[in-house]
Amino acid sequence: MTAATPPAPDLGTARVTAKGLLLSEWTKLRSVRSLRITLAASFAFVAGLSAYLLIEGQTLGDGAAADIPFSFTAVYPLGVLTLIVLGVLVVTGEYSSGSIRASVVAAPRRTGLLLAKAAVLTGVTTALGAVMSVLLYLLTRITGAIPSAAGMSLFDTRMFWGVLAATLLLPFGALFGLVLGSLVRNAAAAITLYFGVFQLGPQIFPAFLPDGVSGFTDWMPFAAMDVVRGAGIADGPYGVGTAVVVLLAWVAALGGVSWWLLKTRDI
Amino acid sequence: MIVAQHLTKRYGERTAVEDLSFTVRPGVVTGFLGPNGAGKSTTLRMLVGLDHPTSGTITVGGRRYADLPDPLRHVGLLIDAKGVHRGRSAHAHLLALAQTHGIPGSRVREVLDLVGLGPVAHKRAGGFSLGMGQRLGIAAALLGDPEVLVLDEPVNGLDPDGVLWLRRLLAGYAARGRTVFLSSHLMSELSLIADDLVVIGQGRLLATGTVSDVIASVAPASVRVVTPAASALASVLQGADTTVTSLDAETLEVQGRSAREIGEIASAHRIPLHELSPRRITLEEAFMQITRNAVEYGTPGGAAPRTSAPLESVR
Repeated sequence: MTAATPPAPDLGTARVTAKGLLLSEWTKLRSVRSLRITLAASFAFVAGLSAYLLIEGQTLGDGAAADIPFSFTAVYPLGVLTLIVLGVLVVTGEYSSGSIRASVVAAPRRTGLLLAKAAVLTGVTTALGAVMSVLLYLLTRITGAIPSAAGMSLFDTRMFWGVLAATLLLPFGALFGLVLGSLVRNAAAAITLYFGVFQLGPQIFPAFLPDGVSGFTDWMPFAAMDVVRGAGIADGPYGVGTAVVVLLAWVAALGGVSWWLLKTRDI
Repeated sequence: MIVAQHLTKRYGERTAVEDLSFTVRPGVVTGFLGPNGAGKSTTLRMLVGLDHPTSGTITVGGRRYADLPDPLRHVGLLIDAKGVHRGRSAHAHLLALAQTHGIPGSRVREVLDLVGLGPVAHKRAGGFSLGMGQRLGIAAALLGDPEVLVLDEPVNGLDPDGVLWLRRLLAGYAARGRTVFLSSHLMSELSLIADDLVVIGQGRLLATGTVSDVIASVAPASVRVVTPAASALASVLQGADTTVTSLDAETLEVQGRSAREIGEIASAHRIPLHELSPRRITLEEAFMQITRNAVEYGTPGGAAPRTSAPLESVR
């Protein structure tokens, strides 16, 4: 057995920094296979299905979809769903494994931990979403499957805002999942909360609520996401700008409660 | 240096820690003892800010842990060995912790080699045994080369070689002027490495001080003497601070005199001795007596101290 006295390492001016927390969260995200697979599968599934629709040419080439230049983003909401699950898993995995304790011991002020987690997940899903959208746009141009998109630049306002809105809903989904996961700390509970309240709620709640109140379902995240996806082309209960504010308000409100609970509850 | 002052933690109606005050000095190994449910883990969790005290404070070097700009450089904590994502490798787990502080990746490899996990550094931690998980937890605690090492049940699951390694590591750490604070149920193990003790029961402080002081507070050291002239020896040993108890016709138990003194007195009076043995209760027995009335989850009769003291020194 060798001498057990540890060598005195040169750790310089080691201290908790924003950059350090971001790097740490990036390492956590990429070092767990199930998270990598969920992330890759979300984008591969959406990209694959969209590419199939573009190559097949019928679905997007006829009817209403043919008049919408960015209709190649039609299946993005499926990606939003899987990214919500990813967001939930990213945070609840820490609680179920107990590694949250090591994380909080390393970053005891906790706020930076939550912000870094949100920033890394949002950043990664935004980057992947942007790459996917550019590739699908190029495929749209190559296949010519969408008549209204023929010869249209990606930066043409009729194309750009629709693509941008659909693309940004992907990181929004991941962030929304992360916020729900932080709120209830348990994957099953967070996913049940999502499907029970936010996905099925708008169909279920009006049956139980008086007419005057049931209109609030228009202000729930799914309704606001639909408005955003319409990019001003489709009719909605309110405008795109309002819908963006509604979505951000949901994340801010639920995120604020999650942050407060993280700060005040024992781990 | 760790200082707890009037530390109290309540979970609803239940009080886990109540008005607990103690100091852990640097440069020594301090054992943290208490029966199951005594509040040891709760105290350690409050030390590193995982739990918020209901009232009172616990500080490291005079500062609250959460206020430290570089907490891993001050405190290394092992609180539960399985606190790692099953799908993540030991290397990635430690790297993610190191990156928060800008600690270089070379330090991660260094601590993995130090705890003997170098060869499995890139294997998923889900496949680790309890002992390997414990070594990974110790590696995480050592990552920032902290001034204070806080270890909750560190020898759990370690093989004999690992226990010996840990004992040397902790002694070496304390010898460098660092603070080592560890809880363990293995009294024999603690008695080998601890200099000081903090003993708690039902969340309250029961005893604190050096190991010798704590044991002496329960039962003073005594010397057993076997001699055919027991009554003669008893009469010459009697003195102001000496208590002599006759156990049988030839056996005396003497408190207040060392074995050396008794031997010299007997020699001066030409009294033959057949046996002369210093006796001291073990740390385990002292612990049982101190915590007898403070066992939260005991078994009937389980906390009664053994009456026959084995002939061994505790240090």
